[in-house]
Order: sequence, then structure tokens, then C-alpha cells
Amino acid sequence: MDTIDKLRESIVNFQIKEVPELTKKALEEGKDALEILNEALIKAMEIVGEKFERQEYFLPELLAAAQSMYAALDILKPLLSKSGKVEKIGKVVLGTVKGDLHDIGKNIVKMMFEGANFEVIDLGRDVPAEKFVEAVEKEHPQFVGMSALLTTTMLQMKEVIEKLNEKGLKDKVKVMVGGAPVTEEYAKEIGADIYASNASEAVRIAKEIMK
Amino acid sequence: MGKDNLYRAFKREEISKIPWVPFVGVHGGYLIDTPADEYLKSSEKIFEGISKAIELYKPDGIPVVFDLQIEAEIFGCELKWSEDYPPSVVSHPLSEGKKLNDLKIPDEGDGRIPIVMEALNKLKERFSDVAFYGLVTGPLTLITHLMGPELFMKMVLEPENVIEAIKFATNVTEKMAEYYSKSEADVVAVVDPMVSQISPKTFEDFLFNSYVEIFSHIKSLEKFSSFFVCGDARKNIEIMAKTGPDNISVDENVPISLLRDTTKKYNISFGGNIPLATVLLNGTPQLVQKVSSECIYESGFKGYILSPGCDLPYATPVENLRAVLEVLNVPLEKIGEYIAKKAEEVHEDEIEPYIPPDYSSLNNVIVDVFTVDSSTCAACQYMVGAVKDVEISFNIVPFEWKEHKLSEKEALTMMKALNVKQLPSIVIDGEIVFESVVPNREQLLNAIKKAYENKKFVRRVE
Repeated sequence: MDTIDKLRESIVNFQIKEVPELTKKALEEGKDALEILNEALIKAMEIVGEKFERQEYFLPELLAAAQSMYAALDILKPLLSKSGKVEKIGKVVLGTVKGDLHDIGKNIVKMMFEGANFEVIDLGRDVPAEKFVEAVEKEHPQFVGMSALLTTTMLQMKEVIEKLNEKGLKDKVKVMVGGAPVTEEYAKEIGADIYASNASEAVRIAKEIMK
Repeated sequence: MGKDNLYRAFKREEISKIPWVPFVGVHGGYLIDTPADEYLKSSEKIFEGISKAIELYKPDGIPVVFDLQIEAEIFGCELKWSEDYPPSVVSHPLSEGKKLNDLKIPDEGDGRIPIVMEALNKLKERFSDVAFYGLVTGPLTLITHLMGPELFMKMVLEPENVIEAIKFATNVTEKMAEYYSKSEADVVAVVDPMVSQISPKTFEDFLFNSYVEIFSHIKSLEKFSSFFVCGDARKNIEIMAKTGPDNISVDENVPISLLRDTTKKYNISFGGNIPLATVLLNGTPQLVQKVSSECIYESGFKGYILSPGCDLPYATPVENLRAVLEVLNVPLEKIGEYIAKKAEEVHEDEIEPYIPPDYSSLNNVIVDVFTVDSSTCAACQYMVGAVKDVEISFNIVPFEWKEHKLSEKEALTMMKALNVKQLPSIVIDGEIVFESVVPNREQLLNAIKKAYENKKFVRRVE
């Protein structure tokens, strides 16, 4: 097993203490930062995502693995930006809708997107509809993702879609929705393009579309 | 009717009528025109709201208050109040400098505990035949409030700190159960929605002993206990049952059949499952009746308590909740017949002209196969077979397909909208591509590929 394989496994198994050491070792062995990113970090998060969807991993394991991934990314980041050759595979604007302060779910979606090499613009929580629209206008993302945990706040998603429509932006971006009370049926009803029942599924669908 | 009926279900005894426990929380405020933030801070309003709910919904049991932030508020979690929802926790003292040792178990007079107990006392006085549920926050949810989401990471990376915190939270849960017991609540329900976010192994390592202790404590107080969870807790139902509650209550993420079979094995009662958003909040009374009669039918009756999946949304239409009363009056042996009748009514309501979607913006190609019925007509069978054959190539182009049988009412409206006149036919993204003639694999695959290329988002590969 070479160092990149070991690093990938240690992220999947959230052996956070080993991660920085293995990342440095891979670099010392002459591996390219980009190769480490692609072959260890992104692949690891893909495996973690699959385990999460299969209910082999739950929230604690997912978060611990993501934390381990970030421990490696912190070391790689300066090198990656120096070489300037990291191409993101897409851009996502994310936020929890207005009136809703629950952002655990949104943050996990963010981590999974970052782990899959997407650029993420995080608008935070309690985000008014106008803010989503502005961000789509300014950032030109391929996806805009909205999260809600409450049956009352999920109605905000519809408003955001209506506002995107008014501005003629709806066809320029794929609207992605999720959160505990949101169902596929509801997503269809309000005209969202993508419904995902968990973070990993959201990333998988986005990647399929970007292929 | 009433308390005794509910107790019989708790003990899995024979019943002639399914007990009904609507989880009225802030919805009580809606019933008396009071915003949630005002409602949850006033024993008078809670008393009025729950009294109104009892008059309208004729429940066998009902919670006094549904608010999982009562304990957290006492520990200094900052709350953001809302007019139509229980408050949300916005700060987490244990990740902002406070230590576990700084926290002490709440006293009976702390925070909003006296408000809740006062409301309970008055309700007990007025309604002697309704069982009142005292809801206490389960240890995992309480610790999530106190530590924030980083708790979950710590479960893996620093388990010893989490174990200590959970021990403390367990003591809080037990103390709250005692306060409710003292005020003569009939059932103590431990509500721990976060349990759906962890694996059975994590439950075993961190929570199992706590829950065994909590439920045996409630038993020693001579109260029935219930374990409420929300979310996809399918994997944890069995281990939850092993901790010894008298009842487990779930939402629509857990199929009633799974819950029924697991709780039967442990000889405990079970409940829940009318979906909140799609059925109770946004559905019609007919849909509520159809879904709740299906819940009853699937439950097999024994040990079942009908209730919503979780805390009712503030503005749940009154007529949707009252619609349940008709279902409860249907003799159990007639419930199957009743479902069929309701299914037809719901159908009638839904027959509106079919409006095809904007296919070009959907992610997948939509393949609609119209048949008489593929199980009875040979040509139809081949048509469906052709699509099934191509399904294996899903990784080449993403598509979804569905058979629409003439016997289904929706099929008729769809055929009208899509101008389908012959059966069997295959319609791809709204275009009739094959009529009567069964295509071969290549023809069909090419037609689907062509439709996929018309999608707006497909980036041409140069």
C-alpha cells in the first residue's frame, strides 16, 4: 500500500492523528499536491459518502471523516493555490432559508461539496430570498442549494424559486432542495430541479449533472 | 374511549377502538389565536389551547407542552423565538467556555418548568379522562443543544468527554420525569430526535445504559413511558426497544410495519406515523382519512396508538385533524373497506388535467409507457419488457420510466394531455415515439439518448 492509499484509508477511518503526517510524507515522496487531493482526499470523501448513504456511517462518522479530510487539505491548500492548477468541478451557492436557524444539515452538504472539489459559496443560515437571488446573479453557480428543517420555513423555498423566475435566472441554475420535512413531491411541486435526501446524494447528483 | 383505552394499548391488550394522541404543541396557540412565543410562556394560554384541542379532537391522550428547549434554556442556551414555531437554540454554552461542572440539575422552580406544571395541574383537574403526556428532552438532543453539532465529531474523536456529558443529561431527563410525575402526568415521553443521526453501535456505546436507567426510573415512578424519535431511525428501533420503554413513537421515515414487528418482539406498544407536512398540514381531510386508516390497518391493531409523526405544525388545519375522528369510529374489521372508499375519494379530488413538466429542465429523461395492463396483455408486456431491458443501461443516460395502466385514473388524464391514442405506446419526454410497435433495444436507447441531448443543462462534449 503506498502513502496515498494509506492517507485515503486514514481519512475514511477518521484516524485524524495520522492524517497530517501521511500528507507530509506523500509530499516528501514527491507526490504532487493535486494528485494527493484527487486520489486521497476526494476519493476518501466519495467512499465516506457511499457509506453514509448505505447507513454504514452516520453523522458522527461523517463529521469525523470530514474533519480528517480538512486536516490534510490545510496542508495542501498553500501548495495548490501556488501551483494555481486546481480546477473546481462546479460552483454551488448554499444556505438555510429565512426563519430557519438549523444549519447542521447545510454544513454537512457544504463539507461534502468541498470534499468533492466544488467551490462553495455559503450564505449561512436564516437567508432571505433576495440574498439567494443576488448570489446567483453575482456568482453564476451551476447549483443553488436550500435547506430547511421546519415545515413552516420550507415554504420559503418556493419564494426563492419564484424570485429566480422573475429575474429570469431559474433556467441558468439548478435549484437543489433538502432538509428533514422536504420531500421529493414537495420539491417537484415548487419547481425545484433536484431533491436529495442526504448530503452525499446531493453531491452525487450534482457530479452526474456536471459530467 | 379515553385514558383506559390508551392504557390498554400500552399493555398490548385487546381494544375495540384505536387510541388517538394528537401531538399538539404550538398548534394549541393557533387554536386560541396566540403566537407560539406568547403561548409557550404562559400557563394560562397553554391551559386554554390544550383545552380547546381536547374539545375539538377528542383525544385519548395529549401532551401538555411540546418544547424541547425548556431544559436547554435553563442551562443558558440562547433561544430565538418565533410566532409559529417552538424556539430554536442559537448558542451552545459548552462550546463557548462553560464547563460541565458549571451546570447544575434544574430545580422545580427554574425556567419555564413551573409554567408547564401549573398548566398540567389545571388540565388534570378539568379533564379526568384524558391521559396527559409529560415530554422531556432526551439526553442526546439536550447535549446537542449544549455542545452544538461538534458533539457528533467528538463522539468519535473525544468519546470520554461525551460520555460524561451524557451522564449529566441523563440525570436531567430523570429529574424532569420526576417533576412531571409529581404533577401527575400519566405518561412520560422521552423525546430524542437526534437518535436518528447515530448508528446502533454509537447508541450502544453512548446511550444504551442511560436509556435503560431512564425507563426503569419512569417505571419506578409508576408511569407509562414512551420513546419518541423523528427522522430515519430504522436501524435504531430494535436497540431502542431493548432499553425497555412501554412505547416507541416514530414519524413517516420509519415504516409502520417495521415498527409493528419490532415492538411485538419486545412486547411493547407503538405509535405515530400520520405525515406532518404532506398530509396534515397540506393535505385534505380525505387524504388524512385515507392515510390514517392505512396506518391503523397496517398496525395490526394490537398495541397501536394513532398519532402524527411529531409536533403538529402551528397552522395545521383544524378540519384535517378532526377528520381523524371519523376513522376512529370505523369498526376495525371494516377498516380495509374504508380505505378502498377513501382511496377513491382522494382520486376524485386529484383528477385535474395533467400538466406535463418542462422536460428540458428535468435531470432525467422521462419515459412513460402506456398500457392496458402489462400483466394481462401480451403486447403491453413486451413494451414494458423493452424498457426494462434498456434500464440496465441507465449509466449511459439517466432516465426514469413508469408504466401507466389504463385501469388507473391518472393514466387517462395523462393520455389526453400527451395525445396518446394507441395502446401500448412509449412516450419519451412528452413525445410519442413508439405506437403499438415494440422497439428493439438499440432503437429505444437511441431515442432516449436523443431526448437527453435536448436537455438544457447538458454540456456538449466537444
